Amino acid sequence: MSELIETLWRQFGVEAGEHFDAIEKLLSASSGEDGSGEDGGAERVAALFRSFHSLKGAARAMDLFAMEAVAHRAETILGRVRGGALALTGAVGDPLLEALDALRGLADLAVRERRDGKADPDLLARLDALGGASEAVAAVKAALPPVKPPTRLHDNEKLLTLFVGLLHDGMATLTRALDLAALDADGFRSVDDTAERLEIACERLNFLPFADVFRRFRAGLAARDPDAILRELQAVTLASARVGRLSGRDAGSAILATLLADHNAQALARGTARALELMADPAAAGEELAGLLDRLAATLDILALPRAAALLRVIADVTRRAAPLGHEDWPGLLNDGRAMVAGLAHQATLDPPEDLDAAAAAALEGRLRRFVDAASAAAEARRPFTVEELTAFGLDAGLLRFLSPDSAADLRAAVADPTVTLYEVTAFLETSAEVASGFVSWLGGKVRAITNWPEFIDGKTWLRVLVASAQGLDPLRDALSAIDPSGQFLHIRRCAPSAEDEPDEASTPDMAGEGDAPLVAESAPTMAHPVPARTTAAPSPATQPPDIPPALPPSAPASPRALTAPGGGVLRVPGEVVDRFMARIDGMVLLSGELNGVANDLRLEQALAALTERLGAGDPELRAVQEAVEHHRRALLDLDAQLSRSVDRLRESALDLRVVPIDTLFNQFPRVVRELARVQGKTVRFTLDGGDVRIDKSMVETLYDPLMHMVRNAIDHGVESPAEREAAGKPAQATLSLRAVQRNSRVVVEIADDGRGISTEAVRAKAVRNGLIGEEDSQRLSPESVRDFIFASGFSTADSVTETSGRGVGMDVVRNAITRLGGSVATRTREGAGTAFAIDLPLSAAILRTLLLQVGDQVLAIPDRFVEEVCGFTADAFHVVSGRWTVLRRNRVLPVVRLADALGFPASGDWPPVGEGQRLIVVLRQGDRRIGLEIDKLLRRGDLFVRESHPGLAEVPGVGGVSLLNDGRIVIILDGDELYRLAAAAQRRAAEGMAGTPQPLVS
Amino acid sequence: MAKPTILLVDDSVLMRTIIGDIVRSDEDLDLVGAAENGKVALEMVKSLKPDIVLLDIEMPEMSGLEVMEHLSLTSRAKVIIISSVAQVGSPEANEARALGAVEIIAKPSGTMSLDLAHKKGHDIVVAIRRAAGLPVRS
Repeated sequence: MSELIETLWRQFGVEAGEHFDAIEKLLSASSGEDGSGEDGGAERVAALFRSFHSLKGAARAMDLFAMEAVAHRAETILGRVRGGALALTGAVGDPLLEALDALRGLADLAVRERRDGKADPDLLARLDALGGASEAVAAVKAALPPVKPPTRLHDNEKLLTLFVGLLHDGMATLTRALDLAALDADGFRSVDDTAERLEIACERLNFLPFADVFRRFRAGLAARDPDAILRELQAVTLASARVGRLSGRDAGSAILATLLADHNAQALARGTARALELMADPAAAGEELAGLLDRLAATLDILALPRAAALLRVIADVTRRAAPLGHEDWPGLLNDGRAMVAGLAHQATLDPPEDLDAAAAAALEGRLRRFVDAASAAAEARRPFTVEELTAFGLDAGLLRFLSPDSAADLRAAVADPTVTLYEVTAFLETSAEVASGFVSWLGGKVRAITNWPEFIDGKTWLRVLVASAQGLDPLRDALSAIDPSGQFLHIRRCAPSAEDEPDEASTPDMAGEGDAPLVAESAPTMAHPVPARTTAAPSPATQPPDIPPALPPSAPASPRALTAPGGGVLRVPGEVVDRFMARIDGMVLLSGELNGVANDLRLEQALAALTERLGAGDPELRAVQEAVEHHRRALLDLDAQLSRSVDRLRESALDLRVVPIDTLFNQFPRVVRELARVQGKTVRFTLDGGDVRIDKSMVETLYDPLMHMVRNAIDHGVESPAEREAAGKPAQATLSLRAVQRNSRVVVEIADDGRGISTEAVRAKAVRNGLIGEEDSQRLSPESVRDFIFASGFSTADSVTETSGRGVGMDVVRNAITRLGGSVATRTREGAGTAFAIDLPLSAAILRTLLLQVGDQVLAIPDRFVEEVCGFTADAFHVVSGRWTVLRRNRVLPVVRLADALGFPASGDWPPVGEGQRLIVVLRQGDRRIGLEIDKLLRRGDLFVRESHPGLAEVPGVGGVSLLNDGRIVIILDGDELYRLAAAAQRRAAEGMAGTPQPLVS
Repeated sequence: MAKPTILLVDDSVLMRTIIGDIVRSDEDLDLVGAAENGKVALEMVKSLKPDIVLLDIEMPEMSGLEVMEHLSLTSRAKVIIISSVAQVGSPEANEARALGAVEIIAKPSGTMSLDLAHKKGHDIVVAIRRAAGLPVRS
């Protein structure tokens, strides 16, 4: 896109420069003489006119209104010169040179800074004085259209001469078809033969539409359809007039017109009668009327009534454009047109036929033209808005449905008016009649209501009203408070593009609570689904009242599925929705990758290069086509690059959706701690810290159980009774703290108590008692290693089974869960002083960078850190070494195995590989060891969200988890270590099989 | 059904780029060529036989109306005039209509703010689709 814009600016610069040079040359050539009289002068004026005209169009296309204004005036002046109303003397030429200089300056500015400049008002006024009123110019132009000798037809001169003669001589014969009753079989054949010969000649001369006329004439003749015959004979008249003009010979058009005169007059009478009927009803005046008027105009052309023809064409044109608009001035204009048409049939029968009165026709034409300008300006305003436009005004995209053409026009007017501001009022009018009536009269007063729409919030239907007002937010809010002192039913917010009004809102903190913020909090649940874009309309952070907890409404205390939007509004979205959303984005990333592949396909580039070389300086038409292709390709590449960036950003933002403050997890514990302590007669001060650290939402769910277990453990086993504590010289109240610290991409969650600590000796003794280790061995272990036994399966240091322990979840489960998240647990303890467990986790354990590949129909993912590289090998690179298939990679032997075989999937294709083409080998690493896995297809790298895998699937060896692709296909995420083991085992099996069967021939 | 083929005639490179881009934004249309003046246009009409010709009026060598005069004899192509000269009721518009122009529209303006969505609903695209008998998107 931007490349196109760049191209346009470049072209604009070059083209404007060419016109400037041309104008300069033409103006200086004519300055010394009075160039209006001679032929060369006329051509010069025409060229000047065209150059200014082109500059005007180019400026308009590039939104350069100042330049357009200057060029337009110069064009108008030259239009007068061209029409003969003005001579190109120094008095005209000098201002034109000034205009040229101004245009040069404006164009330079535009090309340099890509912006519009300002036109000198004095210059514009001087140019206006020369150009005169535009109406007068139009009249001059209408009266004196530029006359130029036609560009002659030059093809097949001889045949053309023959054809013109044939046409001229055939006219009389053709008109015999008008009197069908008198036409006998011979006559019929004669007419048809003539038409057929002309049709064939037209085909030979490539006068295809003219040939069509003769064909339709013959069809009408065969069907004995007088209307069709007349219609086609009229067409013959017009076409032969054109042939005559372009060939410089008499093609018989005038003869035919004379022969048809009576019929034409009758046709005109019938046509005008029908037109009068249609014009009587403005609502019915549509395409049929326009078509009919055009046909009547053609008849009037033949009858040589140009003013009437012109007027009918203007009415037809206006009908096509204005009829659907239902403009109030239209019936009146149509009626005046009708009056003009009414007399035509009679005037045409006069001898000679009488055309419309010139002044009256010109006046009506002028009114019609002005009407079209006004009507199309109104239509422009009523044009539907786009989502982007609305968003730019700080409006909700959902509003589109409620903007009628009228309200769109109102909204445009409001947006264009710098003195008014848009506000959105939300009103609940069904409780209080006073509020309702007060609100309605307020709407009718100082504000302009643009549109309104119902919104279902919290089980009630609220009314939302978009209003424009010249007043500021505060007076409006005061006015609404006067109507609704409780502040419950009427809320107002300013619609502003993005963050523009934030400082303004922040400076009035006292409005918190009476503004729209509570409403937004209430409406949050309804916002999530139907109109996701609504989040963009969420209030700025400053409007969030302080009495609403930033994280969660009180009614939803323990939901791990809450997302806090940066705007402060809270959205609650089911986890599956986010998962699905992420999967779709993944799908988009895939498509964007494919697009990238197509856009960058070298073959296209090579083909274009070859084409360019072949073309050389040859055929300009082909070169234009080639340039168009090249341009298109560049635009594609540019779009592709933009799309990739945009998709990346989208992905990053989407990842944020998965991230929640760890508070949502921590907040679930205070109650538990209080309850446990109470039951056990202990007093515990529970502190939380670092709750704003953000972690992946799936981790909140996975961490809950382990953390809960550790908290219970701390209270059950760590914290002493108050009496015991006092005896040990500690405060009676124990302290238990839960805190989170972010370290780069990792988070450390620490649970610390100041209780009795872990007795190394007690752990050792228990481990021995439980048969986890021999007595002697245990004596040799370091204290740390001994304490590690608390994570061993089924270990418990408590001698009595309390209410809270013995729930089947031991520290072994805790450690497993944390390991699964990619984390680790460290223990710090001192007997008598307390214990701290530090859980070190990646911030988003659930997001796994993987390599996606395909075996058969199944999409598989191998975690990135296990993949060293992917290489291609041809079939002849595979060799058997020590009974195993291998390839040589960087001078080292790499054992290879089919991934399908390793996983026990049904395998397809040949093994070992045969035939042409490359085989893809993923080099899997585990520590220092490497093994190659042959795969069917490599898809891409991708970040996947690991879902808890289905219990059944978890049993399958090698499977670490599953994820979803956008099309709903399941991706199996392979466990790197397990995969290595499986691959090595598969190789051993293959080697054993090979040992038992004849060895394949190996070179 | 084959896509309607379109020939673009305008003496300005800039306009050819802009209008060409607008036409190409509609995948139902096939822009087969662009001519920089009337004479080239007539040659291209002869060889390319487009279904629709987008024609400027003010051009050097041979004006759009002259081109139409020839086309009205020699080509079945439908002609859409794209010109700011041919406003409703102007002599040029009348002449173009008399010569059989199916539609007369103004040159595009405000190109810089045109995005793809706008282009698809652009007057030019609408006019072409109407002339080609294709459904017009609302």
